[in-house]
Amino acid sequence: MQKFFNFLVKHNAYLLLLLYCSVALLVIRFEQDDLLSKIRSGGTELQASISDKITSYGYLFNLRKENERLMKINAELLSNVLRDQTVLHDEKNRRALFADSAAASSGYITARVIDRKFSSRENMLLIDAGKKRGIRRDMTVLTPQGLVGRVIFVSDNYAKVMPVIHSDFKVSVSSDRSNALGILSWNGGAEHLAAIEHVPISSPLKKGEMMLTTDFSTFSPRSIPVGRVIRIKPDKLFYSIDIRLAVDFSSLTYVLVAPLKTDPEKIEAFHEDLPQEQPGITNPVN
Amino acid sequence: MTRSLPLLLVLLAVLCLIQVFGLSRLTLFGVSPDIVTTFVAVISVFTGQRTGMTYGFASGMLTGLLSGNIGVSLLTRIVEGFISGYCHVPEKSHATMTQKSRMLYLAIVLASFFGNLVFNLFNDPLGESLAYRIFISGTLTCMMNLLLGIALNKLFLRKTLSE
Repeated sequence: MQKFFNFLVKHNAYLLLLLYCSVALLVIRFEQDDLLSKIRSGGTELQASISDKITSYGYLFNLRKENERLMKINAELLSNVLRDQTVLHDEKNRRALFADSAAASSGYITARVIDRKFSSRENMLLIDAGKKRGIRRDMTVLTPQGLVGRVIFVSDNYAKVMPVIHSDFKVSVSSDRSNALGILSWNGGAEHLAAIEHVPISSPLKKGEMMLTTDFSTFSPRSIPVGRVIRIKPDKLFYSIDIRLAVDFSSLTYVLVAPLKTDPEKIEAFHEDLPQEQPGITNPVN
Repeated sequence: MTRSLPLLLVLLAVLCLIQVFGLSRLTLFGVSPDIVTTFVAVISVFTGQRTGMTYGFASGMLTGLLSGNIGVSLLTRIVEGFISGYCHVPEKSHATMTQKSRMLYLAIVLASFFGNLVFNLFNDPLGESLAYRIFISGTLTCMMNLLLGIALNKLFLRKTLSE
């Protein structure tokens, strides 16, 4: 027995090693057990919270640099968002255009308004569709909301559109309820307002009636909304009428171009008794 | 040493925190210096195998808790304490300061190497071959810890070694 105790005293370091190693091996063996797992997860929580604190102090020292970095990222993201929003908005407009009309199935051509000449007297739109896509002079340009204008010049890839809000633009219109006829024109000024001329005071036209294009037009299909009557004032022979245009020209992005309504016989017959048209001046005939 | 037990325990806890949250992030070829190993080696050199192992056990528990690898960490530190205990310099030794320093450095190298060996037998965090982990990483760990030990010796242990 004495020898055994002497052995223990002499080799106590080995025994301690054996004890500690046994504990360690047991911990390794049962590391996945509930209690040890809880201890480990507690330790991980502790480490995470301390790391968080340390990192937060580290941020204080790098705040300026971090701020600059974030500003840079922010600028990049903002530009991306703006670009995406533009694409999304364009796509939304394009879809709305197709959803509200029979455009897809009736030979209508979709085009995007890519430029606009804007002044109090003259407005001109440029669309990204030209001869290559089948655009021809005098085609009608519209949106589901109403008439936009007519094509007056076509290049291979672009076309110039004279909008309703152009002083030379005229189109024959009639009201939806009373069928009162008149000529739509724009005299400058506000781009949401236009005038109807040549409506006799005998006409039963009322405020609030919708004005639509008629078959009398040489370029436009009939029944395209043009605007709603907002003011009627009788003059000597004719009414002085203001309408609120159906199309919001301030937010025009996508348009439809209607197929050409060509009836050469009709045009020929119409022009037969008219004086010769002056070159360079847009045909005011509606 | 015995009188300053609470101080040493606090120091051990602080060093474990420094190791887990600071030094373990300073990696070179996947290896980082280990101040806890150095500390355990120093304790073993001055107080012997048993105390060294006990400190190794405590430090293993702490670092294991914080790193989420309790068992292997325990075993590694215990082995480190035990191995470096072979370089124990008794209190009443007549060894010179240089001899004590050499023993200390030897203890650090041995503890680092065997600690690394035990750790790599149970763990393979980087997917390297065992030979690479034991010899290349082991050598690098030894060198890093040795440099750490030399720095600590020059800065803090001169007085203890001269006693």
